[in-house]
Amino acid sequence: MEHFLLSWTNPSLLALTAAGTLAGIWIGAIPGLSVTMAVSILVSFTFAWDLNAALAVIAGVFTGGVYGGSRSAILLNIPGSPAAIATALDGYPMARRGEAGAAIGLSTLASFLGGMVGVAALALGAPAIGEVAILFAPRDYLLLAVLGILLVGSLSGESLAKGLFAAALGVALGMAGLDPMTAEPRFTYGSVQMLGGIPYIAAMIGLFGVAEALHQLREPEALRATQRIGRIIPPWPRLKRHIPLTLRASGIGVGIGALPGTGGDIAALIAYDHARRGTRAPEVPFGEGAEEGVVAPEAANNAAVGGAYVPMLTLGIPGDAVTAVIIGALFVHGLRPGPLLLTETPHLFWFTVGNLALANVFLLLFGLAGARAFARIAEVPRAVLIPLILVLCAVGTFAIRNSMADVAWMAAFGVAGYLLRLYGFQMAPIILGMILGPLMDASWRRTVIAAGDSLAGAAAEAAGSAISLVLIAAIVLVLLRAALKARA
Amino acid sequence: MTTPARPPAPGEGLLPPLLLVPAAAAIAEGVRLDGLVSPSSPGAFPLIAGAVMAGSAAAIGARAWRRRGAARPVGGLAALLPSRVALVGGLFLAALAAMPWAGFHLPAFLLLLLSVRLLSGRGWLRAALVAAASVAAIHLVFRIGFSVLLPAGVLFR
Amino acid sequence: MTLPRRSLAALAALPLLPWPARAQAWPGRDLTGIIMWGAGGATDVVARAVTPAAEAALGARIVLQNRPGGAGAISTQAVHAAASDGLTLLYGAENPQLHKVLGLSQIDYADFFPVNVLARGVAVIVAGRDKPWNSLRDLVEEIGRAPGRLRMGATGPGGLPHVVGAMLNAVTPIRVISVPFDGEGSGLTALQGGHVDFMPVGLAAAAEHIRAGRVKPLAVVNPEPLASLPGVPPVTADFPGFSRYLPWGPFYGVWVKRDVPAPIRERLVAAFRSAAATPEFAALMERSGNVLMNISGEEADAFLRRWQSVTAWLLHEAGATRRSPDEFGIPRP
Repeated sequence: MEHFLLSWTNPSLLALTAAGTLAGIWIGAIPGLSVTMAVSILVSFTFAWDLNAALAVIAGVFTGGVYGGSRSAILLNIPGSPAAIATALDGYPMARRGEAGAAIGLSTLASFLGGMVGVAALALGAPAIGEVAILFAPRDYLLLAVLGILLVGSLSGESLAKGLFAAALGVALGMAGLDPMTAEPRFTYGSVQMLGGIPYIAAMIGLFGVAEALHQLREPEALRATQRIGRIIPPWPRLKRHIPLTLRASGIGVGIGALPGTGGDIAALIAYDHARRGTRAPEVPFGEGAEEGVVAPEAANNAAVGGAYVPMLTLGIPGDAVTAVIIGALFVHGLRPGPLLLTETPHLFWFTVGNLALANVFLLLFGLAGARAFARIAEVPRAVLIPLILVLCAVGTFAIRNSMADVAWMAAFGVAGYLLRLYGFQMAPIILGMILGPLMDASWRRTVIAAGDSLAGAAAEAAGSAISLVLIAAIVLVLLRAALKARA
Repeated sequence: MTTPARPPAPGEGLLPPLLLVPAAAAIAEGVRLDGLVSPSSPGAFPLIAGAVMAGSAAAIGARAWRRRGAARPVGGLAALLPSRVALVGGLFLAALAAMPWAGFHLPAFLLLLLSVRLLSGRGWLRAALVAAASVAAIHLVFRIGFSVLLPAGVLFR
Repeated sequence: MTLPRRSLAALAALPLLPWPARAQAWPGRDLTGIIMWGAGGATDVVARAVTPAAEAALGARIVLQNRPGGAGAISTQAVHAAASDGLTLLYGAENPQLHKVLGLSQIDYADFFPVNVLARGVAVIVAGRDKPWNSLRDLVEEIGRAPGRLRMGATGPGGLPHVVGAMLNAVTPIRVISVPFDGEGSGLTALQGGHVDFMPVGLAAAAEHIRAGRVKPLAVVNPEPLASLPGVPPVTADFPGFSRYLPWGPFYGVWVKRDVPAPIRERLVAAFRSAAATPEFAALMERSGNVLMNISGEEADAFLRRWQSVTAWLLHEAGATRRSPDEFGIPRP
């Protein structure tokens, strides 16, 4: 318990956690700057520091960064990080309606609550959750990805065919590069640069940032108009209504975050889908600024932070890319991250739990205090904001891995996205395909290979596994519901 | 699921054949990578993706065919690419193309200067101030704050 | 005001000076270190651990960036395309030595000067903890009873499991299902979840899981037992034929382009030699189950050539290469 409170009572650790959270919010809000990148820079930066100090900053950056992505998603329709893609779908329409303040307020409260659920799950159920997480076989990741790709159904806009096309295009783009399983180049056409594939962050920045900026230029009246911000904290009855959804979304976030092969981005997408299918009568339709569409993904992606720490602290297995870097940091700082970490250094576990809780408190504090100042971005005249967005798109894309080729991809995605939108295509299914495509491809092939290249064998194995059966049931349920809805 | 509010854009009839291009590319890559030979080959998913693209392109085409003549497309090329979009978009692409040679700061400044002037319709001085302040702020936040690299040109090393 | 002007003049005269004089002004700006694999991987950890001490010895900052992709081909191409001024470092692992025969890239470590081969890893063959086998021989016998049934965790062509699997197959023919994962970590996770039966893996990735008893070590791929793994026999105890490939393992190091001027190379070599000799780095390598090497120049080149010759020919004989090592003048071991 004393370790739980260590960072709350030690002034320097308190300050470091606060600074980390604040920096994380900014890093998260700027597309192209990722939490993974920031944390790996911190590993060198904190090399000579005390371990607790390093972990405090890292926990702050992680928590703040996952939350920060929602800021730019809501205000500019540019997700600051992949985990905030789902947030943009309804957060940005809310902002355009003049409720930027409420959208930020809701996302902050949902993130805080989600983050706390994640910490609670970590503190109370870590060993059990970790043991279940590693039971997920390749086929279960495949089923999970299929569950995610069903989201295309609700993201397609005017026609399902266009949504399917966009998703399949995304899957094909996501395949580009060296196939790690066979060392076979795909869609590279002889280029060594293309072996590295197309980073989906570049696609995301182009399709959302550039295409959106260009589209806003089409509306002359929008150039002069500025948006209202509105109140930040919605009235209590409105908040109360969202609590059950927040808790369900947090559960999804913890579970998917704890799986070693998936992180906050997929958690947020699946939680958004859950909200969309599960909310009977939203006040505003989804896609046009439904509050539920902001609450669910934001709760899920911050809950996924606690989830990602679960297998890392109990089994020495990273739950996502960021915790993989944290394991490296623990090594560098003289620890032996592994299954024995929990028994040999229990204080580290409780310190991390307390630290994450503290970071979430700072998230709430900074999030609400800074919301109004941040939302002023929406008040900047579009004539200045749009060119600035374009410049930031270039900077952010370059920051991914310092490659001008990625910047060229971003520009190409921007132009293509601008045109595709004119013809009634939605951008989100493309990104969905790029994120889930490689996961589906790899886990499908792993499943089939493991069954001796036999489809029947793979099916038989799935039929004998409780996890697979539950996931299959979920997929069937979603499809049945969609079929019934279509008939009604 | 259907929102037929959008009037057809110019050239909507040409769209489905164009959509077949990426579909064909994906199918070709899938076949080259043994997508037809084994379900676990690296070509399996490109093949599936290509097939889905081709199928949905056909569905989009069929729908456009059924709706032909229902509504006239609005405007010509100008509706597709208004001059403001073309100008700012062109400036953006030109600035990106210049970055490998001229680095980040100068092209970004010029892009901001010209497009802010163009869009706001106010004076050059104000546009220049906004552009300079923005580039300086980006340099501070990215290069110094987060020690992230900005594109460096070969001209001003 | 005279000082800046004088340094400006010095700067302008720089291209005219002979190399030794210029080397004193070197580096003059931040160095860039390009890491071949992603954040959190073994190469990343080694790079980030050795760099602070090297920065101190060099008196300059090294800005590290991960540029993964193409099994390392993206990073070798990027460093190869940079200027030969010694300001761009490549933090890499063993992979480029197979890029030619796997048909991925025409660039390998022959195009780079080894500033330091920091450490090498040792492979160990592990099985699920509830498996009945207690030695590599038990495992091989089980494979013989049910050929093509057991599942081996792997990481794709040229990866450590693939190479060790090929060695085992060359010593005693085995038929197993090789299931490729994204990396050694994901493979070990699948092993603990019961989705594969055994896996050859770097000791660095497996050490803690072995120590916790969550996976069972069958043999170390080394001519002698390891002090850090008491009671685990060397692979040569059951299969002496292995000895012709050993010692073998993944390695980590720092490279610059081969045509970087000698004085700059020497400064880099000195800086990294002292950085790798710090007790902290040595302790980190020991904890993570790696063997500290700290070699450079000709000694490192010889090591790299031998590694390439052994591995490329082994894979070629296993039918896993796209081009013959002969085409690139890689001698038979």
